[in-house]
Amino acid sequence: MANILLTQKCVRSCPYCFAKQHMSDSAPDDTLSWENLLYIVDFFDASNEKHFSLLGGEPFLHPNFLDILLYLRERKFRTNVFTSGVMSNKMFDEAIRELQHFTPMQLSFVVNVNDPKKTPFSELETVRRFLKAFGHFTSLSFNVYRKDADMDFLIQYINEFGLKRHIRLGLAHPIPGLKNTHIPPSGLREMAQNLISHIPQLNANHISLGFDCGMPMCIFTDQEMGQLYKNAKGQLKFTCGPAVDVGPDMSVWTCFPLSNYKKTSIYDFDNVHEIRKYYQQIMAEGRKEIAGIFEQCDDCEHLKNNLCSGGCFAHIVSKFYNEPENIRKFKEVKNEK
Amino acid sequence: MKNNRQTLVTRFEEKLIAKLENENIIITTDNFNFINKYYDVVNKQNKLNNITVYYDGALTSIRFLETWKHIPLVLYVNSIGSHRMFFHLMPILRQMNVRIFLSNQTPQNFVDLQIMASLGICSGIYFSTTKMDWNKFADLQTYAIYSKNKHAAVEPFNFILSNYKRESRLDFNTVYYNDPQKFLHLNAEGQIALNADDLKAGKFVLENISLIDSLPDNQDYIKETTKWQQHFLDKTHCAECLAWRICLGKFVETIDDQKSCANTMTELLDGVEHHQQRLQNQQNNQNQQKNRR
Repeated sequence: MANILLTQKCVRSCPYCFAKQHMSDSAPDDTLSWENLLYIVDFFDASNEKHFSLLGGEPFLHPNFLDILLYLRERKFRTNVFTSGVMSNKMFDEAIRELQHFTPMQLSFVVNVNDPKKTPFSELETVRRFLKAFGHFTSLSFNVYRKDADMDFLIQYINEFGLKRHIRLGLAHPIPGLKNTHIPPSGLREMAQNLISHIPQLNANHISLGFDCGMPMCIFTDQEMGQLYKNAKGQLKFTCGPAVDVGPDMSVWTCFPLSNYKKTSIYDFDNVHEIRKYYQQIMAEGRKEIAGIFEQCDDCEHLKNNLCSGGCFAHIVSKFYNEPENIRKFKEVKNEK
Repeated sequence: MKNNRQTLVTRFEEKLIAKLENENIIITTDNFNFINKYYDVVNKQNKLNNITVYYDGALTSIRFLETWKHIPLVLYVNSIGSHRMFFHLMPILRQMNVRIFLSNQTPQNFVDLQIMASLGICSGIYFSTTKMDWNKFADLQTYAIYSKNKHAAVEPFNFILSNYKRESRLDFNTVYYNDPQKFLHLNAEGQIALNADDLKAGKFVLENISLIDSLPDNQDYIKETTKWQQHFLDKTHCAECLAWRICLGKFVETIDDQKSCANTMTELLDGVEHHQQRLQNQQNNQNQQKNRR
């Protein structure tokens, strides 16, 4: 599903933030205008895609956020909103009032939560308030950036607030040329073991896991794969492909970690399928140089059979980013647009 | 209804309406209270084309009634008002037979027309000020002509797209009832003016509708319908403009150093010709397919 950025402003500063590069390159007051929204909605409509995700920064910070949701509902779009759940009292009250007549088929929220032990109390309170009010619309997303990430609180949140019984698990990915907190390939096996240790408890609570892009398959043993398969009811994904993000200035890129890699404009394409194809070709070219994040990816049968993409493409770009020749190329690409 | 006769535009005057028979009538008003009565009375022995309401306020401040659903309405409003309230109005607006005109006074109105059209509400721009934001106008016309998606008509672009013929000029004042070949304006006594401004100024060309057959020979009528020629006699900028055929010098008062109006209207003309070419190509393809069968 494609992502539309409503605003570059964010209320948090997560250590793993993979939108860091994009945010630092953009004007903070850059918000999506009605004109651009109309173009984007028509663009997706013409592509026969009547659903997308709204992202930020924090989408609730867009001055017309609720109006945009109402508009998309009138256009019969299914909207998914990625949010921190952190917002002002005024916005919260308005959201309660305006969103009460939406159905979960028209609107869903993915609330990205961080470990409560590392979250300021005031932030925690507003997140809990949001989950309590919009639980029936909401599933949780958790970005793993530590090998020993604690996930018990996710189960607690789901039970306490009646959230959808599914957790979207993302891996914090590197940003080529920038520093953020993420797990290097060498630490992924340990992270996988920690993750698997939570499976019995997730099963006991009827909660399924789903992987965001870039999770390599081989960090799990066959036995662990079986456990995951059963937990996820067969819906497991180990691929990394272009998500397609559209910025408020109508720029387009493949995903946040690669926001400066071959960034282009929505006006260069006739439909969203063309954009995906464009970035698929670019990623395929890159993977010819380095197949995946591990050396064994080169000869991996699962990669050849498209069961696994060999981890996040950002790892691959990061590998050759520091080579002088590639820094030059990368900067050229960045400056092209 | 009387064939080939102009539509009569008048404020509601029961005695006048009673005197008319088999006429196509537009009622103009600034009052929403009697919409249903106008509809019933006019349709007794005439045909109500529409009720046009000139409302000095925002669309969202109008209380739409279920009983208006079957009545053709044209609304001239200052703005749509709050987007949020507008979206809440959508369920009832969708059921109405309504066309909504916004003024060119604010840049936001040009965007709001796109929002309305994208949601299936027929709409249009009307020109209440000579201070025109040509960029916004151009954005709106691009949307109206080139948008990737189906949307409701946006006037006057829809009129131009539908009626343009390469070999003749086109007056989009028809959209605003200011074309005496298509519309005549009546006062309460039934006196006839050629356009809304003349009606306001009390400048009448006929004393009543029974004299209408003499209209083609009326000097004021001839002058009004040929006034476009004055641009050529006066050699105005408009006489040299490529887009003359679809504009007829309507924006002569807005001409700036960049000739923004000429540029925008020329783009519009290109768009219209492109649109017609596309339709022609589609027609040709369909004919070819038929012939093959």
